[in-house]
Amino acid sequence: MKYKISHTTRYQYGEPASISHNELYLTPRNTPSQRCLDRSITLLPKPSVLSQRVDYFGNTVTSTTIQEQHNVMEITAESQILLTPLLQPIPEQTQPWENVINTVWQHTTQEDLEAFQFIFASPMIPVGKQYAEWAQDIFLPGAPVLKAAMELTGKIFKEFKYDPQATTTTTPVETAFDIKRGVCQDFAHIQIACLRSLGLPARYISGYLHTLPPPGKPKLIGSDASHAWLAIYIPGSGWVDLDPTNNVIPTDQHLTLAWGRDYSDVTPVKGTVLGGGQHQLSVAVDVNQIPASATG
Amino acid sequence: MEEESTGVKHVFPENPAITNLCSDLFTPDGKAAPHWQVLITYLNSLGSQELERRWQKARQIMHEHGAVYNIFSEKQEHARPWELDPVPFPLPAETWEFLEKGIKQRTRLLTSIYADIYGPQKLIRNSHLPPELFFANPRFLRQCQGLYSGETPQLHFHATDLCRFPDGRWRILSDQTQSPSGAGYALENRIILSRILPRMFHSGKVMRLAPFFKLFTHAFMEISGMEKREPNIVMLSSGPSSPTYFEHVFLSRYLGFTLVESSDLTVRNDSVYLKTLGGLHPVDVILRRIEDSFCDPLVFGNSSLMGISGLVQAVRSGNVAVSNPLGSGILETPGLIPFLPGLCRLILGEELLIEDLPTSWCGQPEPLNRVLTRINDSNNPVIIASAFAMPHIPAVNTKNLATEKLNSLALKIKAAPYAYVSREPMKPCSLPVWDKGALTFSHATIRMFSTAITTPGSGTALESSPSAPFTSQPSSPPESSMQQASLPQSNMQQSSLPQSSMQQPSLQQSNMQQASLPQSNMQQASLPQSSMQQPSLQQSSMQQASLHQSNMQQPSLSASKVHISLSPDKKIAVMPGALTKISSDPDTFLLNAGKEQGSKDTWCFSNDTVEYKSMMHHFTENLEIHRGSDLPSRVADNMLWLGRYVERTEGMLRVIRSVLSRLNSESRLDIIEEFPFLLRIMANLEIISSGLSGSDAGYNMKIIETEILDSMFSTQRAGSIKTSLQNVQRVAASVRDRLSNDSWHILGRMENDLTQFSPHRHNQISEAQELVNEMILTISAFAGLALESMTRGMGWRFMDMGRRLERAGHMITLLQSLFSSRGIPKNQEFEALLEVADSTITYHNRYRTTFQMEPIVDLLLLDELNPRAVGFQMASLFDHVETLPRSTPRPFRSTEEKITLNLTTRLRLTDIKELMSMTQEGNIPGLTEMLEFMKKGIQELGNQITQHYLSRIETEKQLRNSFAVSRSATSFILDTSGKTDHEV
Repeated sequence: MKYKISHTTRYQYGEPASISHNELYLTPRNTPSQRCLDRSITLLPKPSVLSQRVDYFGNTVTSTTIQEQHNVMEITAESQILLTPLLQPIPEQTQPWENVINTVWQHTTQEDLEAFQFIFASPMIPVGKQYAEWAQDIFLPGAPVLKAAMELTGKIFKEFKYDPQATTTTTPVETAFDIKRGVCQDFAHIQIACLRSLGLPARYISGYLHTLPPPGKPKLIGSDASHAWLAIYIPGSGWVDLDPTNNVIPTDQHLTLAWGRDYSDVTPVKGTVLGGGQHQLSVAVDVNQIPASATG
Repeated sequence: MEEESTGVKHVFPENPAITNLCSDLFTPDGKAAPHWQVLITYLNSLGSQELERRWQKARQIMHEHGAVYNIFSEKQEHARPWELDPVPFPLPAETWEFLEKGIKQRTRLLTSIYADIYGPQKLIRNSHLPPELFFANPRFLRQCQGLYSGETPQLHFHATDLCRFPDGRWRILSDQTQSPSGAGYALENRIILSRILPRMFHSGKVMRLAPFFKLFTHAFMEISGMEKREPNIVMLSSGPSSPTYFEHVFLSRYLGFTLVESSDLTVRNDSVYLKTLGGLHPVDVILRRIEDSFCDPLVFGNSSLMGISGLVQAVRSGNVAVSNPLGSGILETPGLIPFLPGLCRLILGEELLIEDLPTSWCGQPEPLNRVLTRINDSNNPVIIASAFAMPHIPAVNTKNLATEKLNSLALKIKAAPYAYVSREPMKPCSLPVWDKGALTFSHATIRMFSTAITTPGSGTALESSPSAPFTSQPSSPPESSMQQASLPQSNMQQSSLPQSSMQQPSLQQSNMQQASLPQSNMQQASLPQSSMQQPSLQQSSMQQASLHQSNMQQPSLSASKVHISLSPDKKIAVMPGALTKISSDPDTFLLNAGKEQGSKDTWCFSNDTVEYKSMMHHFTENLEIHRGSDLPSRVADNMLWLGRYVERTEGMLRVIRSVLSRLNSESRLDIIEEFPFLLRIMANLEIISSGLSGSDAGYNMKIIETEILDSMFSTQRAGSIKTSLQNVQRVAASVRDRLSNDSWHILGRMENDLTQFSPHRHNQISEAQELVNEMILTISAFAGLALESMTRGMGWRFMDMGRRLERAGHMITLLQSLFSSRGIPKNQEFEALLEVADSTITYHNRYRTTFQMEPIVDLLLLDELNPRAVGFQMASLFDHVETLPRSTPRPFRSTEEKITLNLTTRLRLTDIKELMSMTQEGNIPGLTEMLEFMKKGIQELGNQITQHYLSRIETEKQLRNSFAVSRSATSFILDTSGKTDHEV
């Protein structure tokens, strides 16, 4: 399956801004199931500095500096992605979750060692008793790890209310967990907090979701969304994605941008500005499937 | 004088029963150790009283230098003076040589570990270091991975805290690898001591500190292969709020680096620039005095005001060098300590020369169990600390904890054992300390400093590092501390415990551990599991344990060797001296609790004669002549405000003095003709509330007294003298590196006055008047000295501009207060005006005793010779704005020039008779309009200067992170037609 993505972030300033430094995690990474065919990042006004590098987690990060005076900054990232869904392990047949902890703590393979760093608390995700206890009725002794993890995904989907007004990007996990409300970022953080508090390796994924309009209505431009979900590591099988916002295992509609320990590692657009006064932020995302005929 | 009549009283008692306190002071046969003997003889020859006298002098000098540990702490109103003990800590030549060797080795070792952790991570991949020490460590900054692609970045400023213990061994307590403080204080201590005990230094056996700092400066000049002859090196400070700001100022001056704060720097085109009045100047090297995570708000996401957005990218681009390298805080991780002996053998092929305070990392099963057992053993207390030196987990001694606390500590450790270390409680040796005229004893640590240098310098403290790993053992150190390589290790060797004992303690306590965290989970889970799983669990813990044990015991047999070599030409220099810190409470050092009580100079004796070098010795190269006119914008702004605050305070004091002298007179207030006028000035200057002036209350002695005292002492009032003085101090502190020592001395006096400023002590109006007199003298002296001792550069200009702007405004307020009522003012009012305007003598010289409006207004408004007149201020301001730097040569005058020219011309063209012509109603419309015009013009001029030259001070702020769409979209529909494929 082939997708075309367009993601525009626009900052409108109340007063002229003179210099703006930005770090962008807007370039889709290649994964076992996804290949990034084409990518571009455009800034308005034209940046004086634009450089890319690969970060600690293997994501492509773009650093830019705009040095001319501006009232509006617009960042547009466009890409084409070829998605080839992988076969997922059968949840009931995965190893007991305790074995995962065990294997990762031994970290004898390179993959295990890499996963090992995703069991600890990170800047935005604490670990603690309350998260582990909340998941304890699912993670019974010997429970197959993926089956339990999916049940946890379902539990978050069921018990949490999707409410964009309840939280912001900086709302602590503790708060979202208490009020049982939030958006995809909060849900991903909460499930990661639960898994890590149990001792399991889990990472945060930033990306997009391909959505379809309600039956009979045309798809609106800019109606798609930045999305966030998570992945759990199962030794031998690798990382398996989980989306607690939609209660699914992502396959062919989740497009990965970047992953890290939490949102702070892979914030799509972050920056600082000199001047500018108050600013307004607007984001528009379009994810469109390219018909098979066009893929040639 | 007295001492001669009373005879000399020995400083050191003849037969002190102190051998057990200070093993170093006496040799086993009861004689004073040779390195102490010199000192004892000398100090005894001085005698107690003379030493006390000199010590008082030392305190005086330090006070004048402004040596304080904290200038503006949040809690204390006043800074804590830096305490120096007059009895130094002498280190014999053998000890110094041993410590020097040990510190050099340590710097090399830590540098290698840094290079690997932020580079290939071989130490982790090959299991020489447990990964959780980094993966779970908030000090491990993943953004710094691969930051330095080329050469291994060096630790240019490494500090090590050491203690000598009663067994005679030196042990290391901790390392400071980000931005260590203390070297400046050590230097200050030496300067003071060489002034009060000069003869000791003439003997030529005490090693000098100056050569080390020379090497240090050289190292900075050569960092990152910059080939500039004069690289622009700045010292990045967190500002006057830092507890060690005195040192930032002192060291930056001594080293010749520009002292800057975050807001002085900006990143453009991936390069760092200093914002100056003349524009942006490139910066080559930053010696930082702020921690890793505060350096770049963009990358490290710290929301504080500190840091330079884009700095990390500039470092990555190789356009600026930051020292110590970013991320070096990882080396301060206490969890690394138990691994250092093994790593030293592995990487450097040497035994670790100086051992650490015995430390175990709880991330390994055996130390964990041992610690958990010891927590409940009240006879064998232990120190528990954060393995990552996290400030929110302070080190505690279990002997100080109640059972409840101990239990909760045990739970916390079991929940995340890798986050804790245990350390052995040990009491460091004591040293003799001079306290109130007699010797007592206090515990001591020393902080030693080292720097990586690139080319061989002339200093004595030089030694090349081995060029290849696994070199043969270096010549044995002079002290026997090598025999026992490290305590934690030997403990581990003894206790190759059977499998069961590793799990038992946790199983027994499993009802206590509620947290389902890694370790506990494993064990809980294993209980109901089938027997098939149990072995694998046990095996895993065993493997984990044996993994590290084997590495530590026999690194050379390890299958995978790690080769991390330093460039062969890298050398380390160690400062031949140290900052000795003393405290009567040993917990101060081990727990970072309690209070440090002071410091000592540390003397490293040399077997050779030390060449005499001045402390203020300068480099032999010819310096290029600078007539610097460029000033960081922030400094210019502070200078402007310093000028303003000083002038404002002085003006207020003069008015208050005039009012006080009338309150102190025998006349009733209502018959003092000029009193309403004085009250009007006070109200217009917002010293008192405007309601008082012109009402009956204005004649009530009690009310006026209260109001005046309040206007002096209240810290609640924006316009009080106390507040104004605090403003002066605050601003002066932030430009401290630009003010002469003498000005500082006076500022210190002002602080004294300020402390005495208490309404309870000065409730008498007469006493208040004396105080105001003193204050006027002090503040005039400060203003005069600050301006007089400064080069006529931009700093001086901005300070003087502030002063002139404020004085012009003040004079206009005075004149407006006088002419606000109709008719010709009374003679007494004229006299009072001349008094507060400090122009009485000039007037009487010119006009004798006749008071008339025209000559008075001429003298105070138009005159360009009277330094108090508005005309004089405008002429000076005109001179200043003409010389302000311009980014481009322009044919037209700048706005500030136009304003000044306009105001000056207006004054010069004024006909005094015309200006003062009075209407029948008794108004003087010409003057009223003129004063209003001048007032507005001066305000505008102030704004214009700020806008033009100082607006660069604004700092960057963070943008809102983008993730908005999923919040604005009310719902979205997921296509679930292609449901998850399962493996079939």
